[in-house]
Amino acid sequence: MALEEGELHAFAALGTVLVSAAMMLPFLLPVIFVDRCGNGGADAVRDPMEDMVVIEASLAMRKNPKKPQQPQKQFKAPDDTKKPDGVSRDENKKPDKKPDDEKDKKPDVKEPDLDISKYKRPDSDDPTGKVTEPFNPNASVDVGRDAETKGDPYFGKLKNDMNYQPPEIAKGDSNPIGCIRLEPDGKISDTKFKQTTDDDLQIAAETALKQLVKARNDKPEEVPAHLLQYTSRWICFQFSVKPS
Amino acid sequence: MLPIQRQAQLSVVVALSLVAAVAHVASADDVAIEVNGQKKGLYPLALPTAVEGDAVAKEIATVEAFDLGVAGVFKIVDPTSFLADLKAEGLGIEPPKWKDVGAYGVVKYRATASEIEFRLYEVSKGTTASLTKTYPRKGETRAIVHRWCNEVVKYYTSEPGFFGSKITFTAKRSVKQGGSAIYAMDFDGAGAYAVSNNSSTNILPAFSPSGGQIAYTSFMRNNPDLYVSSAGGGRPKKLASYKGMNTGAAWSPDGSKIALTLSKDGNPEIYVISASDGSVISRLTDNRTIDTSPAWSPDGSTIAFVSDRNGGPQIFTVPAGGGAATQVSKNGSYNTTPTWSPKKGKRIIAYTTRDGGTYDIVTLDLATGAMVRVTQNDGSNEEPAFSPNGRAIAFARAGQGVFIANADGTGKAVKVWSGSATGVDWGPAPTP
Repeated sequence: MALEEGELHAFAALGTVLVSAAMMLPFLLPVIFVDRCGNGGADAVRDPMEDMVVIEASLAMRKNPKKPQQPQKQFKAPDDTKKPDGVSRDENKKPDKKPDDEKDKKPDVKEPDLDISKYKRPDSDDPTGKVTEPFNPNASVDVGRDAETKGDPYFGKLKNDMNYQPPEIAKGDSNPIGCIRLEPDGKISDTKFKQTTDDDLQIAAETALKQLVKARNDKPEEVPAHLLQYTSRWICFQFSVKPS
Repeated sequence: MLPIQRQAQLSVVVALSLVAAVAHVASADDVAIEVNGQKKGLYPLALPTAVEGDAVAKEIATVEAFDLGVAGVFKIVDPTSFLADLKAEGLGIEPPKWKDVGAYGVVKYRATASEIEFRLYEVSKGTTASLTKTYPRKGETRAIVHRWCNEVVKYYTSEPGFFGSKITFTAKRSVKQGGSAIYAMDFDGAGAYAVSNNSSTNILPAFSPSGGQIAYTSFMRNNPDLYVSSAGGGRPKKLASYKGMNTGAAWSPDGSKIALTLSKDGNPEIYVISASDGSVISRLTDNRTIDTSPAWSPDGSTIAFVSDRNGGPQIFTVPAGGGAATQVSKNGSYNTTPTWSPKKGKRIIAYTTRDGGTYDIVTLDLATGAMVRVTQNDGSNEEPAFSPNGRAIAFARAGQGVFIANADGTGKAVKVWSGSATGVDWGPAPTP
């Protein structure tokens, strides 16, 4: 059955519309879907897409590790400044410097590489130096003699703030015992010496206790709840020196 | 109503219960924390000037403050912080007043026309002096104060002090005169005098162990030959004049031998020669690089020296009787002029090290590898020499002079001589 020219045109136009619609469908569908879901839904759609991209990218990274390479020879451009071999006719020319005689170098000792700058003192004006070892609350297991104070970081900091350090030539090896009254706000309200000695270590202990009082009253650290029971008691420090 | 006897019994029981309760609370007071410190740092010492007395009283205070300030173990308490009534105290002390200013020790003195009395108090021991000495007022006041300060150092450290010892060094003469001369002076810079008496260049002086002689290199006959003269100066005796260098003399602890650098066989090597006639006893190094600056260990067993056999100059040690050399300096690429601490039982050297564009003094414990930086951020410091007790180090600061610093790196260096000095060496402890 033959078609009229007008019918042919109509079929052709319809076919064109159908083919075009079919080609546009993948792009139109998400738009329709998004419109149905509203703005909140737009995120819900966008995120999984973006995730996929991210995941693919990361997989791509994992799937393509840097391939191991064989050792590569380093190529170097020829040295333009290289002087020509032969005898120079320049009477003012100085002889070329000879390379070091490698035979004289003994390879058995490593080239020293320590940097002297690391031996610099923290403060050259400080005649006795500063205690440079920082307090580590987690390492204060030696703090306290009693089970109740042993290992507690708050007591460890108290000890640290005293900076007990008798002079090198201090005489004596006694064990003075000094005590403090700690208030809940962290200030020290009173001190006493439960055991005094008659050597230099007594002065060192008194100095240490004064330093602690000053440090804590200038910058109090509130007593933690689990230690408040000690604010009604004397907290005593037994001073001793490490054998040299 | 209870009978009286029953009431009395009850009262006793209640009283005992109260006592027991108080005792229990008292023991519960003890929240004990152990504080374990390390003896370290300087000893705070107060040196108040005598309120009464003539100009000598002030001189005593000045010399005493200088001596004990460079002793290497004391930190002098700032006099402006004193709380004590010095006039009321007189030769005694009120311990709480000194404790409050952080003093561990206090020195008091009194100078009369015939004598000078010194007292050392330890604040912890109360009002009784721990050390008292009285010296007749004869001779130089400085010398008397040096003797007292040596006693103070000995009291605390059981080591002899170095006050009254001498330092020798090389200094340039005036431009008109030219060359350089060997000088010696008291450790505090007093009484400097020329040891060499020629118009040539004289370098690298070294005290003999007794302190009676100084060996040095002089170009007076054009070649750098080794001479020995009396420490007081005078005509030198030529000891070694081998072809080439005869430099860097270091006496053996017994004074019988001298280690030095000779280049008679070509390049500079370390040799040991007789201190009496200069004859070669042994050759300690043998290689194609430069070996120089020998220093004899206090026990006589080892010689430290400088060699560039591994590249830049580094410190090596070699047995004094000969053997393999070992590199001991590990820091940086430039280390020179080693010297040994005289401390018994220790093997510590001090040397010059390069840090950037300047030079500084460090010490190295050969047993532990521990390094201490003696100078920093203050000029270019070279050629260290230990005090006779090892507590202090003298060195030359380029363009400024001779300085003294605590060997443990504490405190600040003190200038004892102004000028352009090199080649510093410190003589032995003075005889008491």
